[in-house]
Amino acid sequence: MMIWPQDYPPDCPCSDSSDVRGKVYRLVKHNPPSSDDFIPSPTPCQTDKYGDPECINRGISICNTYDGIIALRKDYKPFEKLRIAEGELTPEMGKMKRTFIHRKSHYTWWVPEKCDPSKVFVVIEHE
Amino acid sequence: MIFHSKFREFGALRVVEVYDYYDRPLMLTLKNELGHLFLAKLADIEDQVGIWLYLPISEERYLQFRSGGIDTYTVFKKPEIPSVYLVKISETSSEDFYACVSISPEDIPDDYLPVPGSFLEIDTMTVTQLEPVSVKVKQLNRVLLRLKLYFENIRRTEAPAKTLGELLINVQDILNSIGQALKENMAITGPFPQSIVTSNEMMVGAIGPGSFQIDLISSRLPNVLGESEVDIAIKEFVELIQIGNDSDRLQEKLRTLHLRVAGKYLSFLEKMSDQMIKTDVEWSTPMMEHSISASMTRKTAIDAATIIKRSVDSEITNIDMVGTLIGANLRNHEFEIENVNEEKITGKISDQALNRVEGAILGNVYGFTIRTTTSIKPLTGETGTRYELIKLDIPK
Repeated sequence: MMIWPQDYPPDCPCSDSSDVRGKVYRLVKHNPPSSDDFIPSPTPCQTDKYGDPECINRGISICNTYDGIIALRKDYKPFEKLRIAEGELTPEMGKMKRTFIHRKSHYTWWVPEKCDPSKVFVVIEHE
Repeated sequence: MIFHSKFREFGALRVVEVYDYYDRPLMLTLKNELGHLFLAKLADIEDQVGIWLYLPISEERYLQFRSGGIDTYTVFKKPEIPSVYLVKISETSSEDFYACVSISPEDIPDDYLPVPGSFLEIDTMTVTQLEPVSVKVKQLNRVLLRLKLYFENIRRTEAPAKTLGELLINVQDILNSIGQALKENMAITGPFPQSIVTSNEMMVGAIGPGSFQIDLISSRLPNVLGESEVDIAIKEFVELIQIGNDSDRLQEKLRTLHLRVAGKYLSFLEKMSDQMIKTDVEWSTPMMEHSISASMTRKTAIDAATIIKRSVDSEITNIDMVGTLIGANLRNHEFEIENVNEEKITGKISDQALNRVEGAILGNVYGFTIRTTTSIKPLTGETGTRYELIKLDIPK
């Protein structure tokens, strides 16, 4: 059974999220990735379209395709110096849900306590 | 941070929609208390200060952008008014800082934007919602037939003009042909009698969202009993859609409605299966409590069209004639001859005649045995003839 961080609001992760699994991608500052690369942002998500904004804010963004993370990095200058890290996720590593669906590959990942995502991610390249 | 509580330039902003997100919103639409829209995009971050592009945008332009009609690069570089705001806001809530300056679109650095050709693709209603059919018929005191057309790859309330025009003609023709069949005026071809045209005429009343909705309303008011001649034609048309690709029911229905209806309905089905994923229809009259609806997918339309187009060989005869062999394609097994009346006949070469044709000379006169097969499409009445070359000889 997964234990979630204490600052999660009730009913978080979202009830329509599913177990994480498969290859995913994240933009990271460090090589190798550190735990700092997997901290949720303090910036409010500003919408309740995908669920409780407080809950969405507790998750971190990942893309489920390499092309998706490349496109995201190209479209936003603040990301151009970040590296692409790839990780293979397994169900005990948390929950995920497709959010902000206009970017087709974007998911929100809720990471349980005692899970260190940096241990399963590897920087693959910097274009 | 995305916007500052002390913004003077924009008023009190609230978020309309977040398009792009990676741990935080990256591109979104905002609206102030006057209803003015702004498209905001994160351009850069320098020393804990976020740099945003804020673009005033009209409702129409916003809908175009949202539905993929304009790419992100163009919407900022070629805005409706030649001014974009460069807004700097501290990234941390502990720093109370913002700065805002108006810049010319040409001065936006290219690396603040995605490359040209990067589109949003969100299904977008670009016209206002229509009233429910059962409500509208009482408002108008007319019969109403609502078509909801789902075109492939179209995300705004738009429809290709030619296809839409042809489809509307199809629908009117179906109604006219049903009206004609019901009056037992059995002409299969030629213009519809004026009385039929007048009593079944439909007018385009309104356009609505939901892919593409179009309201057709009867041009004539109902009689004192609240009835219109076109009621029955529409009822039959909607029943055809409801029947879908049920072969037995479709054939039975079209037999009772007459050949001309089958032909017109076939044209409608072929148009539907060409460019549309689905069609919904809904109709009502001022006297009806509720509307009646039906739906058809592309696959069902294709199946129904196939049923209607089935042909039956009705007559097979062998004809002997003398003529000139003017063409022969041995690879495709095709021939062309000109008979003594200078009529050209084309068709297939049978296997039994192939060897003889191989040795024949184009331009020479021969005796031919041609198998003629006449077929008829029972539901449309269309006939066709196929020719097959059975035998070729030197003429006696």
